[in-house]
Amino acid sequence: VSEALGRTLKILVGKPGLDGHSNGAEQIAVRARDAGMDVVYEGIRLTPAQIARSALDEGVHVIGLSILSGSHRELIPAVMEALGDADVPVVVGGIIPESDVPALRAAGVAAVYTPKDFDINRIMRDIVALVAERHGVSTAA
Amino acid sequence: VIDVSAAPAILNLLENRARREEAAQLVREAGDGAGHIIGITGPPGSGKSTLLSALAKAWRAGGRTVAILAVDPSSKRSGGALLGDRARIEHDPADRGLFIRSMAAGERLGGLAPATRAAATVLAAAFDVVVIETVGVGQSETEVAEIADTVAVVVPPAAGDALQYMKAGIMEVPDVIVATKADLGATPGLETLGVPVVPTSPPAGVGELIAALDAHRASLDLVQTRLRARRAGALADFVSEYGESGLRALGGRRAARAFLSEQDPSSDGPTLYGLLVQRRWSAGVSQDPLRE
Repeated sequence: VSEALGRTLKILVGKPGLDGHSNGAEQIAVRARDAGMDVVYEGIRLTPAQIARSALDEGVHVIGLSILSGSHRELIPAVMEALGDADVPVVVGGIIPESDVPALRAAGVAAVYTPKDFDINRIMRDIVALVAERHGVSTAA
Repeated sequence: VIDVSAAPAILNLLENRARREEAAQLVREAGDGAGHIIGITGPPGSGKSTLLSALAKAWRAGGRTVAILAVDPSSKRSGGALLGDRARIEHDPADRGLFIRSMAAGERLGGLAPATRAAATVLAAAFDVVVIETVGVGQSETEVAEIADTVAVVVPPAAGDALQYMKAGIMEVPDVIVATKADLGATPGLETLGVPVVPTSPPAGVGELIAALDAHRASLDLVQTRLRARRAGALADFVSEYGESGLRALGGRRAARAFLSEQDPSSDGPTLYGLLVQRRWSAGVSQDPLRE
């Protein structure tokens, strides 16, 4: 997919809000690197504005947000709003009750992962497929 | 054509391997930007990112616009990269005058990413200061010296004795030496290298460092510096595309440099590159001893 995109698939990984539990985000970041992606690891305690600005400056193809603080109903839509009309898909992982998933999807989130989705390789395949679909290229490439 | 808000789109274009014609066109249009291109290099963990965070803050406070190209290594195994410099550089998301872009070095070993040279050249047309932070380098990754107007080498305390500095390599390139973590002591012998040594422990020493960088830039013949950078960049692009066999077809590195120095000094990088490629064809691939 990176070949078809013209440049290596680039993902931003970060944690919005007051949440210092970075283990999950780091696992995702390292696995994404091992899957051949360029990973901008932004760290913790980020504001939605910081995340949006970084995503645009860095020219990432996809944003992965990790959130375990319970503030996802406020922070995730705020990130989507800060991104404005930029067409960068967002996936979210963390402690997210199933009942909140429809609201996040309605806000434009492409996928939501919880600790039930422990197969990180599957998440990576999903992310590659998501970027390929948004850019109209084949995952076989 | 080129302003600070266009920076993300410019980088997306320059990094795209499928849009090289457009990229070359953009480099041509940008010409020699007036921005100060500064290379910051040094071993891993020596304090490059911390220093850069303090420098960026001071430059912005002084009203200068800043673009940072932060290069990190790629995994040899997967080709992927974990780019962590951005997390260490403080930035205000509402400030358009500070642009940070993380770049993966890919398979290149010189400390730069494939698009770094072109990016620095183009951004220098829009920003007052363009900083290239190289991957943490060892003793021989000195490519940044070919593109930057001013190179600052970061040396942490107790980094070895004078013998380390008599070896060729990274200590051949500095215009300014930054002795970081100065509160923890110094590395002896640095002052014998004949370039300014600035001890820092941010925020202490940052003002002095900016003054030293500015003084170096003021002492430069910028036209000559940029001409050298264009020639070196064209040759590096040629070697990364055609490798050693391409270089042999030109009669070796020395002959290639001589050829470049005979070309019109006003030629831009993509034109010089094109001339090298053309010369390779006219020299004929028969000069490749592996084929004979």
